[in-house]
Amino acid sequence: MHALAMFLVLSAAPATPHTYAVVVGSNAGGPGQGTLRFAEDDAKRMAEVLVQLGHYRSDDVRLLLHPKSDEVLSAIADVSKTARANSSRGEQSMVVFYYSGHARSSALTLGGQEVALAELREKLAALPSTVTIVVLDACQSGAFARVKGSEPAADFTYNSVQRLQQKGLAVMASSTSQELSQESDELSASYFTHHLVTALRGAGDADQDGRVSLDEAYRYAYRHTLASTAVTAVGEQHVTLENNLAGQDELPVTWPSEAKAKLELPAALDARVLVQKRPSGAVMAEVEKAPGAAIRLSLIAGSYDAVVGRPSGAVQCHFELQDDVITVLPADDPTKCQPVAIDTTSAKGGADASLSAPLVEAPARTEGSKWEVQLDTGFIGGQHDSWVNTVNQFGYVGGLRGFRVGGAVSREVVPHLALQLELGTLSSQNFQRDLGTGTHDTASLNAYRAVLFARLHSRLVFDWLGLYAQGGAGGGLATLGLDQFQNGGRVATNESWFGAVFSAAAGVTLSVSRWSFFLQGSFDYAPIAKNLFGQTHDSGGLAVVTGARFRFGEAP
Amino acid sequence: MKKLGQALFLSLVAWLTMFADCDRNVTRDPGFSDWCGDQLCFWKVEKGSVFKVQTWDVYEYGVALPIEFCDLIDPECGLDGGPSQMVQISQLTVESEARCLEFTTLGKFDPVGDVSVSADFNNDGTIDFTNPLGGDGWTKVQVGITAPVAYRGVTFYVQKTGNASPVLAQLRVQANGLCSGLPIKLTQLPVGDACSIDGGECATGTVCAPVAGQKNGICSACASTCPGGLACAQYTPNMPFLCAPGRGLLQTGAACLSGGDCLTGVCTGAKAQQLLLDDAGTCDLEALGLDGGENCKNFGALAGKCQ
Repeated sequence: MHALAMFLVLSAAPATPHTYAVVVGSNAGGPGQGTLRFAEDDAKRMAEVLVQLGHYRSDDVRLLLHPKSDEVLSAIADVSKTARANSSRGEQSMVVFYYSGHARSSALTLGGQEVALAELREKLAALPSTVTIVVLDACQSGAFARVKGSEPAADFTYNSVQRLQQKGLAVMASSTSQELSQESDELSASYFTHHLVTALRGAGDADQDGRVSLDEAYRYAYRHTLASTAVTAVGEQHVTLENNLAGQDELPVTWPSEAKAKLELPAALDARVLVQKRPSGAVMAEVEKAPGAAIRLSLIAGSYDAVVGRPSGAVQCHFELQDDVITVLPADDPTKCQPVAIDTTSAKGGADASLSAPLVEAPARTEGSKWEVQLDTGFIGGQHDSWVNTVNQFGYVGGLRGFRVGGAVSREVVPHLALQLELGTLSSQNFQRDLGTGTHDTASLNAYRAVLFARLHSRLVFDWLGLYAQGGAGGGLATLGLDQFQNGGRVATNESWFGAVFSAAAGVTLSVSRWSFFLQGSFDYAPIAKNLFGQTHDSGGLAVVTGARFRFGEAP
Repeated sequence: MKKLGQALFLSLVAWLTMFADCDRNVTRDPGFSDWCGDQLCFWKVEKGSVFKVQTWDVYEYGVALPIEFCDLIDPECGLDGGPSQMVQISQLTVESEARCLEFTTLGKFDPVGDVSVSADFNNDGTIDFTNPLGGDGWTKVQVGITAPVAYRGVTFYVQKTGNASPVLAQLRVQANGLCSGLPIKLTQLPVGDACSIDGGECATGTVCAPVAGQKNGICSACASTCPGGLACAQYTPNMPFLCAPGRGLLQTGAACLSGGDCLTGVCTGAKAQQLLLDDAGTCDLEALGLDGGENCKNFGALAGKCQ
């Protein structure tokens, strides 16, 4: 009855309802929470699809990236004011509130600030809009630093739905109260928002009426988020929808059929398709295409790549989308598609996931992989400079002891970029001098370093083979121990110097589960030890180092 | 078979003999690192003064031979009382076996001055070898010599003149098996110096008297007989042969070691020569006739002249 009433309300309206959106993305975590990587990008994508396909004027979409709490509340207040004005004129309004970021059980966290769910509920419930859709892709980093979602012990989804549930209000949440939401390196997005946006671009149009309703979007996002997260270490993620839209069984959210540029996945195609915008590589859609009916995705005109994965192999196709043209994916056109390597061996969960392996996040890339410890050893060439020449001139011979060891801890701060604090030895020099006194004088120079590196890394072949390069600077300690024959006995002395150290390295990694093994070439510049002639010894040099890294803090 | 064994044994002995002098230090404290207070323990400052300096490291020392402003009453001082021209250090050794000597010097030699290393074989006050030291900045100088055929003790000197302040970090004198050049020829050796039997090093009017049990002789006033049937004898085996030593019979101008040798009872210029570095005791040449040379058994002696 309620549904019928709402349908009549909207149908009877003389004009298209006004549409407003407050789209919030915040990567910043609160106390004890890590920094998310894609929450703000998710918000941008959501705002983009609403403008392109949802009848939202760009001026009516408030995109708030990394906002403060009062900015969020202020945006809601602005929308409320506008909707109230519309209502006073007898015009209808539809409001979407989208949030991607961290959350606790009682509040959304925006860096160091919070928006209490009770207050948010009150604000959204008080909106004088006809329909209000709340989409929460909430995240929280607890034991799993990059895992999005609420505290496992808290009933975020349930509570938030209960608190926000009002007449004409629907809440879609990225996971249940007992689950954690996840981001994906491969998709550069959270799983939930990625699949939701893909649905809104047309993949979710199950009845092929040219519109994607809230229910269709939910069903698509639910199914695909579940499939994608089934193979991650964190585990399955179930999207929830509490629909309290009285009389509104089919609430359209986007109208892909009205888009000018469309990509059609042919009816006969049976493949998983990943569509990426060129040249950014941004993932626009990921569709599990079953044979039977064609699927049309609404995108903006431009250049795209599509990876088409089938049991027989995968191809990467390049194509252009133009306005007012429906472009059929040239999946079988050898002039536009090139074979690519796809890892079909790591899939879990049956046919649906068998080809999705390259498109979903592997367990090794979940949040816990940010922290690593490292042990390494190798050989350093050392430097023969004026300092060494002087030591030689004063009768000391011998020299380089090139063995070096080190240890490090690192943390990935953004995708493909890690900061690493490394402690280790530099080159050592051992000299002996025989002045004919019946005993040898010795001089031992040892050097150590503490260097903070920035490491860029990339995978060559999926998860197990990668390349990295790193550069850094830090401090070094050099000690010189002299043991000499003086006045009929041995006299031992020690000196030390501190100085700057600059380092650069590049190498390859081989990853197995939590472990990765690496081989790198490096160069250190460490002018630390000095002498009274004003000469400085560089304890660095070229080195070849091998070692192992172990990821810790990873989800079970 | 027996001859073969003897040949092998002799070859081994020859081989060992050849390398017996392999890099043996002749001087002490080659690194100028032994300091007794503000003085070098094993080097004697003959002229001027020296001080301890750091070299390449705060714990690596050398010796500086600085410019010094001199006293006008010093005969070597310039008329204007300006810098003294000479700093000299020495180290006396009792080395008498080394055939090949290699000098290795590391220092910073100021080019405005003259720096040299010298050697006085027989410790008789006559410089027998000098090599200049020079170079730009810290420089290592090596030179090898062949020692005289016969000598008894060497005194090494480092000397600088001119307005320079050189620093020496090392001075090594090593006996090794690699001789360079012809042996240094000693001439006009006074009575009391070591000599080779057929070398003709001794001064005119003296002879190189052989000493029982020693390969070298000693420049002496006589070898076996003396005029007037006087006995040719030694106080101790390390001292020169004199005619009628200790009997007060020698005329004015004759070689003597103590006043008891001379008719006048006065012998001037005689000097004991130390043959052991440590525990040599003291040698009073005037007491030679009284104790039979017991206190001077570890000493040689350069003869003086009767007054």
